Amino acid sequence: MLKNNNMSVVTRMARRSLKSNRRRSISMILAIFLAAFMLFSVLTVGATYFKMQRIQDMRISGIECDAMMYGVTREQHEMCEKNADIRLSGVCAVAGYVKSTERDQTPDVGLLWADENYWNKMKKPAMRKVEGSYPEKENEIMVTKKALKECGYGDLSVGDHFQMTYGVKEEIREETFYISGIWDGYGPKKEFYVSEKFYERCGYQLSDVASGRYAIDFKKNFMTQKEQTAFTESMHLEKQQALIFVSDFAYAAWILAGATGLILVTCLCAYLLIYNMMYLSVSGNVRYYGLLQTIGMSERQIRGLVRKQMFTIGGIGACVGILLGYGVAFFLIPSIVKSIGIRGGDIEIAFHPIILILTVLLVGVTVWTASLKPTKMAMKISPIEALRYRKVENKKRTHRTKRGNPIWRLAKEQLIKDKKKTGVVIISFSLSLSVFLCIMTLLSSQGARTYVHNYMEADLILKNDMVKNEEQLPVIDHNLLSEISKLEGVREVHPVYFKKVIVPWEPEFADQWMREFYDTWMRIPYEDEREKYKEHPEEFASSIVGIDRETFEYLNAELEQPVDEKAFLSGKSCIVYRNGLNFSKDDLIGKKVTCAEYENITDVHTFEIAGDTDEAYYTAILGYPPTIIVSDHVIGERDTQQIISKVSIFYDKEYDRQTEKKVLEIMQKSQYPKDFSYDSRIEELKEIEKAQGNMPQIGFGVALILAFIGTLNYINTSVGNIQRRWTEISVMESIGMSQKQVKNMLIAEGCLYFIGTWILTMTAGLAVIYLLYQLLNYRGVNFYLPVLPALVANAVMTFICISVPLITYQRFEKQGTIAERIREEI
Amino acid sequence: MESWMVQTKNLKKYYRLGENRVKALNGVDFTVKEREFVAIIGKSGSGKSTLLHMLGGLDTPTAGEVFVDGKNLAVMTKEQLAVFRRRKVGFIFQTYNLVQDLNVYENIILPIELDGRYVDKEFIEELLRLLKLQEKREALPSTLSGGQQQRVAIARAIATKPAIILADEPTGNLDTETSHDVMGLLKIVANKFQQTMILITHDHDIAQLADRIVRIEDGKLVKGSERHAEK
Repeated sequence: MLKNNNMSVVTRMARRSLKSNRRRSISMILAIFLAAFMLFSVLTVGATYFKMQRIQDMRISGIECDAMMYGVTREQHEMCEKNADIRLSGVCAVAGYVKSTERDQTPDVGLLWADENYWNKMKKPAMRKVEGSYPEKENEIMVTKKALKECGYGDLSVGDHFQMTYGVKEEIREETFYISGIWDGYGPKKEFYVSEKFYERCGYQLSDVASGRYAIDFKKNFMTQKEQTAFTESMHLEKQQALIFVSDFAYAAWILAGATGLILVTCLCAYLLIYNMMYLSVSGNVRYYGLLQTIGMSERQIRGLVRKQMFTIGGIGACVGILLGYGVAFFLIPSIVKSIGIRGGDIEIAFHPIILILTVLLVGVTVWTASLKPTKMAMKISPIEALRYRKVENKKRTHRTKRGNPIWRLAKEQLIKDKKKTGVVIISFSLSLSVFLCIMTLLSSQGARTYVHNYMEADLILKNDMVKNEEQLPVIDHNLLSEISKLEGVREVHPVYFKKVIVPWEPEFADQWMREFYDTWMRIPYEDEREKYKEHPEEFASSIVGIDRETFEYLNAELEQPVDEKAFLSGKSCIVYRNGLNFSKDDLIGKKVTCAEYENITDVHTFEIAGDTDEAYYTAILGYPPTIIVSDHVIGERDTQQIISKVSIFYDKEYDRQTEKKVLEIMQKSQYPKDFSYDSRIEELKEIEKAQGNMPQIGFGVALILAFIGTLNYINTSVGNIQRRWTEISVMESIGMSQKQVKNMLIAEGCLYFIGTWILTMTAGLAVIYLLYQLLNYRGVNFYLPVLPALVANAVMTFICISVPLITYQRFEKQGTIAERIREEI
Repeated sequence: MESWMVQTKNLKKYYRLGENRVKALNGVDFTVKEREFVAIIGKSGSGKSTLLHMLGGLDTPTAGEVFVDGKNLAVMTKEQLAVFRRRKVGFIFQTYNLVQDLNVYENIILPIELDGRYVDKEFIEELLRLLKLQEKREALPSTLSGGQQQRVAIARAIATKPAIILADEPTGNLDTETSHDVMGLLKIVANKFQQTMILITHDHDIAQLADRIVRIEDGKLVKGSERHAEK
């Protein structure tokens, strides 16, 4: 058979048809454009978000690494050096602590030594500026302003020197140190970095769990749980050692699964958006294809025609969408973030070619799939049928007569008659809404405030730094407490009392405890010191802490098995701080612990252990024997000069800067203004916000794009829907339906779409949100739907569902009288 | 003084069609008596449908006045016109214009429901019987033949017991036999319920069923064309 070269005429027809059906062409291009735009911008901005989240985690921890090993032996060190999976490893070891300086008796500053890898490669991304150089001489230190301030030397800089008393492993020394450098950046800052020479002399070894910290950065971006376990096993950790994967790396596989889920949902949104529009547009044009058949166009030619149209429309839509997406991702969002004056460093948009490929591929596949059915319909229909064709959406032959308000009934009928179309609209609207809410939930869970934690969610925790000293001063006394509690803006004040005690040896509990303690934390065996402990328990001091009823209630609620309140409050029972020891419940619960006051060893008291906690809030001085937590009156009964180790303060209004300022002023004016420290949620919040940079705004950008697309999709569908039913509406007007009734009917339809969308979102959507959230929630933040965005989304949806049909109707209604509108169709 | 059901005075309707102005109605003075059955004939584009639409309040005149049952449509608001249509007018279109999602019964009672009135079930049953639609009560319009659909449209037009029935080429899409069936039924029903009827048709045989025939040409009634149908 001779080849009939008719492609040029088909191409011409396709072009002409696109031009003459401008409205239809534009709406299809719009659908593809929106989908391409959504995919490209959401994926690009989303990738940026995840990148920024990684930066944030790095900034919060102050180092770029995937795992941290506590205590590293020479063998392990060598194994890691040889391991091909490890990109980089570095050492950061505890070398001691600052005990006091001339200007501050209780500074809370640690001494650390970092090797070259750690300092120059792993910590560098978390540094903003470095002045001077890393210490080389034994008496040189690298400092931060914060640590200097803690020591009372906030005014010093590079080259200056000061004297300090510091503790190393087994002794206390005093020496003058020269500041070789100052750094500033993210992560913990109350520390001085010392030279390698200093570390060699401090008595600690890298293999000490209390000192050696070995940071590991793997080549892989994530490791499965199995791979992590395999690596941990390959290290042959000793009992005291620990290998902890940083949270985002440990959960990377889940995060990836969650992100994939989000991408799939976004792809589904895009698919539905295109499919919906294409299907409606092409299937509404069957008449045209029938007409072409009557004048002799073959099925093959029609298929070619439709495909050419799709190709042109898809090409234009995808190009414009990607270009606009590019503009939004790379220019609009960064400039909006900048223009609203949010600082947090420059935004580096992450671009990956796979995003471009994915967008083009998905748009192509969707356009092709969406055109399959209508093309087939156009090809198979007989020319005569096609000419008479009027889309019958209701395939049923009869239906039972229904009662009730005709307006609502007509509206309901509209939704029911083409369940597939209604389903597609509701699903795509609901998907957009769900993804929007999911991102908002994630955003609020990633919000700076969720990272900020104080025990009991207290706004401020004041700490008596003198409890660690030999002479324990009442830095916070009852007068101060009462002054603070009377302050306007302070709601509650809960002190923790403390007393130094000794826990005498006895075989049932103390012996067991000490054995486990030595096994876990000490490098010398318990047997070597057992006799010493038996004979001189005063050399093994520990502490007893007293808590008030409210604090007890909070602690008790946190325990796995709550203890008997009456027994605790009456002073019969106690709770012990577990100190990371590996005890089972039976090893502790029910046993008796005896303690005697350090200053007065005849004052002996025995408590039944009712529970145990891992909460370090209750510790004061951490001795070898357990810290015993009892009801505060137990301490009170025995000593009128109680020492308060900590105070949790709650404000009327969270994050109330004014109240905090007043509390700190009282402390500054007290007798011991330099001997207290504090954990402030406000200050921590500032640090976290700094670390987050523009991450929340970027995330919000993604959510907004999705919500915008979902809305546009609904608007598109709603307008198209009214457009197609125009004659029917005009006919109903001709038989006496008033404009008000038409509007009510359209509002009712909008309401039904809204209700459908909302029900779907709140059931299946919420399940998807929850699932994705849990996959991405490696910080274990509790799930809760952000109320305000949900309400705003709700209000906007209601407004759109109602106003769009109304505005469309008003626009169409102006196009002519009822007679003209009916005649147009005829 | 004679009572007019319909009266138009110097009725004009001009359309703009691109650069040109089309005079669809160009000063029509027309009256119809109560219970009268008038057929309007004329060529395509002569203005017959426009006139009918003006009488039904579906279109607004460029000039002139329209009175139906003593009410001046020109001064009515859109809402008032809608109420007027569902209470006073019954429309029958060439393309039936039934609501595709509603079954036969629901289509018939729709104007009554829209008016918030109680459905006179006995009357509707009588209509269904007269128009031979009892069996099709729950059928959807798309499953009916053209003749059946037009009978449903007639039932819907009469269901509200309107003062006037306006039929725009009701048999235009039907074959001859069905056309005569439908017209026969329409006339029987209109007589039974004592309604005024204005009918547009191309078909002279159908026009003969009317009490009076009026010819329209180029938007004007042809003088001297009015004549009583040959009975």
